[in-house]
Amino acid sequence: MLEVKDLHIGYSNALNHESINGKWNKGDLVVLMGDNGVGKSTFLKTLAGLLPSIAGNVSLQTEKIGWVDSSISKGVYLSVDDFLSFGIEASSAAKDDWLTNFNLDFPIDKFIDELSDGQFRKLCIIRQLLKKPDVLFLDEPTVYLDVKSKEKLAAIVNELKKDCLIFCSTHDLAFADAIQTEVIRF
Amino acid sequence: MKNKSIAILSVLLLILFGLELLLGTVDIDVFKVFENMSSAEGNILSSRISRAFLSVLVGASCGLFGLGIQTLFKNPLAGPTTLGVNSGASLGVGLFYLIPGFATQFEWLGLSFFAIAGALSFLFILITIAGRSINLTFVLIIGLLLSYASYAVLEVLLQASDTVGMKNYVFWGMGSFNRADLNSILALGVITLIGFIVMFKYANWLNVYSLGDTELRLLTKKSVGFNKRFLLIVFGIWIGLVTSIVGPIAFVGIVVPNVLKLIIKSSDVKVLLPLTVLMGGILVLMADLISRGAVGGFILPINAVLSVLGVPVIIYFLIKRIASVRG
Repeated sequence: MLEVKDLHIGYSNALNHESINGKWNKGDLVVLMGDNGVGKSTFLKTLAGLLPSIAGNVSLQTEKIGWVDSSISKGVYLSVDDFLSFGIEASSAAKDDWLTNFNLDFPIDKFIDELSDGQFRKLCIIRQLLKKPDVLFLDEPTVYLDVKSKEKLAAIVNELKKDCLIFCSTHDLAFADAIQTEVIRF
Repeated sequence: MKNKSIAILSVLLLILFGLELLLGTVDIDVFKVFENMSSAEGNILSSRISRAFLSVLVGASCGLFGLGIQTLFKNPLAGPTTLGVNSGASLGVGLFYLIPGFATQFEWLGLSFFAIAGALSFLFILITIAGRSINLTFVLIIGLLLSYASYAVLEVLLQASDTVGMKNYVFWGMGSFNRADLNSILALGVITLIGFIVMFKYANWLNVYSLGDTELRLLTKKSVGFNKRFLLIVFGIWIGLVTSIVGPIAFVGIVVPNVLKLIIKSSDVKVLLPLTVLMGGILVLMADLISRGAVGGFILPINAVLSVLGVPVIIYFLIKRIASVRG
């Protein structure tokens, strides 16, 4: 499903000296760990096609891509329902199920800039799950989450990986332990 | 909530449209006059009908491109003025009226030509300077600078102009629905329809756009830069035309989308489109009724009436909202 050959990543200069090679399929769960600034997010962006590679090839055989990071916009008048509907087709039952699953019990017409950072983070994760992605990129997904929600997310990720390829960068050792199958250290 | 809002706003629009025909500084029996439209009273009625259509079209247009520009700039305060497009149109109209002899010599081109040419040339400068990526902060800064430049030129032109030209220009600047002829209404009707269809086709794209670049690039294959430019050009022509006919009407574009989003608690462009048309029409019909003295008995500039009507409404909704925002 995803194959990289002789990959060098970066913005203007390559961040990695040795080229990256690999082939991953549904059912794989790759955890990226390493210091700030070594290129974990850059690697994920390159894999998702959001950033061109410096050298080498990325071939990703799906367009159903889920992406969780901190870049999504909160908007001024975006409601929870807007946030979970724009550009994706999901039934209101599916939305309600995920909201309950993550212990979010606010009305669906609440504006999202009225939510706490942790609540918003959960909403970002739910949005990506509603896309039913073939490949899911999680860039430090546990930021802002409380202990219970981290455990919940780990359980969801472990369940999801049966029919999804997952890449996850994290500094959270407990979370990495709870989900990891393969670790790439930068 | 959404269907209920459409129903309520439609009824309100129809009532105001009726009042626009019935009320005025001169009393006429509308139903009798319909039988003989060539009489003096018939002229009054047909001018009221024109104004009613013009009001609805101007309200709808201003609301719609206000909504479009605010979504595109991710800023609820953005509008024709922020982009500098209104200043471009003003400069075009200024050249037409204020340079002595210019208006007579170029009468065949018409005021609209100058307004649209002004609006589009400013838009073109904006896009050229702001570069291919259309970085939105740069666009806002350049729009503001273009506005200052055009005001400077207009100040100089005002010094040099004759009294008639100055008077014409100042009246145009206050906004006026007196030029409600059939051609203006038809032109405005066509561009409003085109603009509405374009926005409807782009509704999903604009929705995802409001969530940020990453989601947009993951979910849509269309080129982001091309779409931004295309929409900006559509809005530029639209604003230029409206401005040339009724003068710079800035307020409707800010108040209508903001208030609607607060009422229906959503930013869904697809839902907002019909509501914006209705509410824009209502606001401008109300303002026209007051500004031409049909209600209240005083003749007032339409922009002044719009501000007096709109400002309290938007402040009320914003105060209610500010208290609950985090961060």
